[in-house]
Amino acid sequence: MNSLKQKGGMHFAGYRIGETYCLSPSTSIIAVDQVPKLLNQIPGTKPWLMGAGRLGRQLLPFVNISRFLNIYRDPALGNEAGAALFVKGGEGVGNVALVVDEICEFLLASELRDCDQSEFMIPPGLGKSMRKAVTARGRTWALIDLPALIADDKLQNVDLT
Amino acid sequence: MSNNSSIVSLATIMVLLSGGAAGYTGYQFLKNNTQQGFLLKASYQAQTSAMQAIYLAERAATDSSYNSDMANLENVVEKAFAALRNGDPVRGIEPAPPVVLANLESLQKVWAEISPSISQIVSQRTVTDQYSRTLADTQRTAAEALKAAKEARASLEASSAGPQIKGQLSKAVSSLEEGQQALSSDGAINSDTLRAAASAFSQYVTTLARLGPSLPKDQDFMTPLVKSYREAESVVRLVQKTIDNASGVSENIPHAKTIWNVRDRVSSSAASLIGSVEALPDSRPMGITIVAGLGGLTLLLSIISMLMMRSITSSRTESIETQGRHQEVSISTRSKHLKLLLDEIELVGQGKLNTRLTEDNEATRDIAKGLNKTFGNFATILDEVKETIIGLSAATEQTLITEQNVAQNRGEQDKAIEHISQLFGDLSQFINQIEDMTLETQQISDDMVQKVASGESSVTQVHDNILELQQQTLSIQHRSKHMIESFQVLETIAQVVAEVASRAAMLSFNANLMADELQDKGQSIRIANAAKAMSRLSEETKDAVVQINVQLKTMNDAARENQSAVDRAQRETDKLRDRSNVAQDALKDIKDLAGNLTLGAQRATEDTKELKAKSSDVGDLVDSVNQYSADNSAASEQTAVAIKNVNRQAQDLQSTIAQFSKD
Repeated sequence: MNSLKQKGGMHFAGYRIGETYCLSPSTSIIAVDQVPKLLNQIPGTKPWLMGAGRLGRQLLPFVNISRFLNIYRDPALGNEAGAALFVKGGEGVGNVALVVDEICEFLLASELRDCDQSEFMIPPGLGKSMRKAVTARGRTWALIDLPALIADDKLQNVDLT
Repeated sequence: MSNNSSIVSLATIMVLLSGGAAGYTGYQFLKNNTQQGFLLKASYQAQTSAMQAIYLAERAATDSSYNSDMANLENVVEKAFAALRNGDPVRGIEPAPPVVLANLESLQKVWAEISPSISQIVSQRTVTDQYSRTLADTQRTAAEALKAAKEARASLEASSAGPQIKGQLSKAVSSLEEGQQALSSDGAINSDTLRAAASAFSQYVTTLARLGPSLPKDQDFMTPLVKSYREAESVVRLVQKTIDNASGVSENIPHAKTIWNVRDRVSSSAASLIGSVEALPDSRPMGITIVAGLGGLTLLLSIISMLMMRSITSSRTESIETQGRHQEVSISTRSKHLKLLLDEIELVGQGKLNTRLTEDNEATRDIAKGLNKTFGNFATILDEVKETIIGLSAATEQTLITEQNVAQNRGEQDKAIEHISQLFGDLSQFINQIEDMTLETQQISDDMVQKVASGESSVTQVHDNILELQQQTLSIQHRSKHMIESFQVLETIAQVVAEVASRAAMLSFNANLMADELQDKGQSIRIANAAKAMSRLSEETKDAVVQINVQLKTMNDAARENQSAVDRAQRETDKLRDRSNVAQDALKDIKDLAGNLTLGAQRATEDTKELKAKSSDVGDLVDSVNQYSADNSAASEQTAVAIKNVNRQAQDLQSTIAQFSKD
């Protein structure tokens, strides 16, 4: 992959989905922001599609990725809104706002070390877009290919039918 | 003898009787004489006055000047009647006897017939006065008319008038003179006389009227003639008036006649009255002869009784002398008999009770008989006395034993009483102890009341403090709440800070992304550095927020604990307040109980006092019982002494009567 080639000078954005800490190249992310408080569910759409929001002049769909991946959410953690990652989509996909549970850190590619991924457990829905497991700053991270995740047919098919 | 004395007393009584009768009749005679003189005087006065009144009535009927005499006479008659009827109480003259009163009654009856007429005449006085005045006027006018007529005739005589006229005029004047004489006569003028005078005057007037034209018209002659003519006319008028007045007087005339008519009856009645008064001495039982007879009888009886007494006295003296001699003889015999009797009585006195007294002597028979019987009885009595003395000595012994018993009883009684008084002493000591205890109880109760009162005030203070504490706790609670609210505000602020931190983190993230995007390496590095700094700030802020949150949590917990502690304190103070209320109530109850206890103690003290008084009463009672017992014992002792004395006297008596024996 492109990201792996330019490993030395690349920046990775760290975030958390459920209990899984994920890393993605900063090039695939346009910006991060808070989830708008007033998002209206569009009638006739899947429940994980939270509604449409704006990034500048652009209107984007907001997708609750935890819900999309059927990840159990511990109610004791509170109803935190989390944060929205504005992801660059490829051609025919368009940009999508992914609502993750937490934005963690911004890491350099040089900080990452490969590790044995046999012990690493991730939610089933993420497996398709996970490339590798790495360790950095005392934590094991999953390298997630965000454009591949948003290009998933399931995610593209938002209506209930 | 007795015969003689009765004759003497009889004679004395007779003398006294005849003397009394003579005195009484003499007094009655004198009294009757005085009465008769008085009655006779009154009767004569009544007769004279009545007759005078009758004779005066006719004159008084026409002349009012007699009216006062008339009234006086009537009064005198009435007075005389009253004197006859009532006598003279001042001089002690009794009223007239019934015979005189009957005659007086008849005279009064006759007088009663004329009495109204007399009063009528007396009351007609005014009319009579007017009549007299009018009559006097008439007489005066008639005299003036006659005088004028005489003047006229004299001037006519002097004139040259015809003799026929002169004759006629002098005739008329003479008739006038007759009329005037009839009017001025001093005798009784009745209506007939008046009418005759009036006709004479009217004849004169008619004669003048007839002669008038033929009379000479001389002034000297005509003036008196006209005057006489007018006077004569007025005389006629006055006479007519007098007659009219006389008709008022004439009312008196029938009365006067009535009075005159009864004249004879009055005089006869008065005469019979006088006769009856004069005949009074004949009708009285006590004449002068009776008085004189009784006086003589008294004198005679006195002389006879004196002579009789003299003879009786001499015969009495003789008989007394004889009796004296008889007495001397019988007294000497009797003294002999008495000497014998005395000797025998002397024997008995020496103790020989069976000595018989001589009963043969006549003088001493009765005495001897009586004494024999008495001495027999005396012997019997002596026997009985001896028996009695023996019985008495036995009784004395019994009494002495009884006295001993009484003394013994008294000792026991004394012991019992002593025991009782000891018991009462113990009781009073016990009562005193009770009293002391009651007083102590009362004092304790009073102390308790005081202490309870102070405790109550303390509890009240505690209660107030509790209330204050509660209030302060409440304010603490309020402040704590306020603090908790402030903590919440602080939490909100901390959240804002956290939000700022997360925003800053996001901003650094976006800055990093932007630095990656930039082609200019230098700019990219600067932005990346800024992003790093921002990220660091965000991390520090986050840490600070975490610390703040931890601190806030600790403070919050502390505040909550404080709150709960305050709540607990509140509950505790509530409980404390309830307890203090209960304590107050309990103290009040204790106070009431203590008050009741004080009252009870006071009552107990009073009761104890009463009991004490009763106990002292009982002590007095015991004393009096003791006294009574002592008295009883003394009485018993005295009885014993008395009985001993009686016994001694009985012994003395025995020794005294020992000398008397039947042998």
